[in-house]
Amino acid sequence: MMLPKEKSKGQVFIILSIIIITVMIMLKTGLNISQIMENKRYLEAGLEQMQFQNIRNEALKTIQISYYNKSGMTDNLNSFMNYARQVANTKAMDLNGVVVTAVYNSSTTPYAINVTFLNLLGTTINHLNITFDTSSNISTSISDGGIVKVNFTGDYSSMGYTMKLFFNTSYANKTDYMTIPFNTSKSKITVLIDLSLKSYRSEQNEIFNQTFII
Amino acid sequence: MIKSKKGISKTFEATVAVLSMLTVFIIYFSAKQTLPDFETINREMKAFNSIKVLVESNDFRQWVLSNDTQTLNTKMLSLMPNDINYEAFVCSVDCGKPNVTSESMISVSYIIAGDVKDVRPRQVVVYMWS
Repeated sequence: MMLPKEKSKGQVFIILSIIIITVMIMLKTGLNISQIMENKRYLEAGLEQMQFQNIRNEALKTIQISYYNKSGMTDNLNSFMNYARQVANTKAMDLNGVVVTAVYNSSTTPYAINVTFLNLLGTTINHLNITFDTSSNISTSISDGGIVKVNFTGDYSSMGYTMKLFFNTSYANKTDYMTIPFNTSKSKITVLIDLSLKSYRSEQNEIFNQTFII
Repeated sequence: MIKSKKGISKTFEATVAVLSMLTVFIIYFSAKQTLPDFETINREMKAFNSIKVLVESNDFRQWVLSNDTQTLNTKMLSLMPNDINYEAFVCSVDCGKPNVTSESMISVSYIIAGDVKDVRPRQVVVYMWS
């Protein structure tokens, strides 16, 4: 009569091992490495987003701090963008894009808009077409780091205009639209920056268009 | 004789249990999976956020443009965690490095455009090590 009870005592080792194995598998399944990795990537992308915001904010700051050197605003902005790109390169990041400024001087007649286009795409722009009101200007073969300067003159009477910038490279075509508020009594500078910051971890993109009274 | 057989049986069952556990453990846990390192990114975030706090100060740009790293390091003291050694540098592109040998050295940088009186971009690089 005692035999079955004694036999079951021996099997307790097997039962215990099954329980322990089940617990180990459950623990391992609960430890979701891919989710942890995803969280880490999210944090890293967050840091790069802050670095991108840093470049964006300081680019606009360049215009503000150049207030006492109005004629140098565009050059200062372009210098800053080249600098930011150089710093990004030292950190294994690619800062690419285009930087466009449109300066309207209220004291000149006929009304004139001076447009400066900086190519930071990392490749040659084969074709650039800038359209403002009814006028347009076409430039070709703008190398990386190259600058195109265009003047539009006319009897501009509307309160605001949209400048169309179409450019193509060997890789892609793109069109950016730049909103230019117009007021004949106030000189202004309008900035359009279409940027991307790429690293092996993430990519940040933003187009911003802002106008300053000068 | 019966007791002896039971003993052998128990030993056999215990061996089977241990072997099966070992087999599962080796098969299931042998793949080397290291947990990702969060320390680096956390330190970088803390340093960057510390600089962002200092940027709000009106004097920050002056400290950077006058290469006043001593003030920068002092101001960061209350913003950085105690367990992190750090040193801030100001430079144009290629910054110097702390005179410390550490495999865990990391850095984070913050760019400034300059100031009204000096429109020259600079970067603040904060090196950290443990």
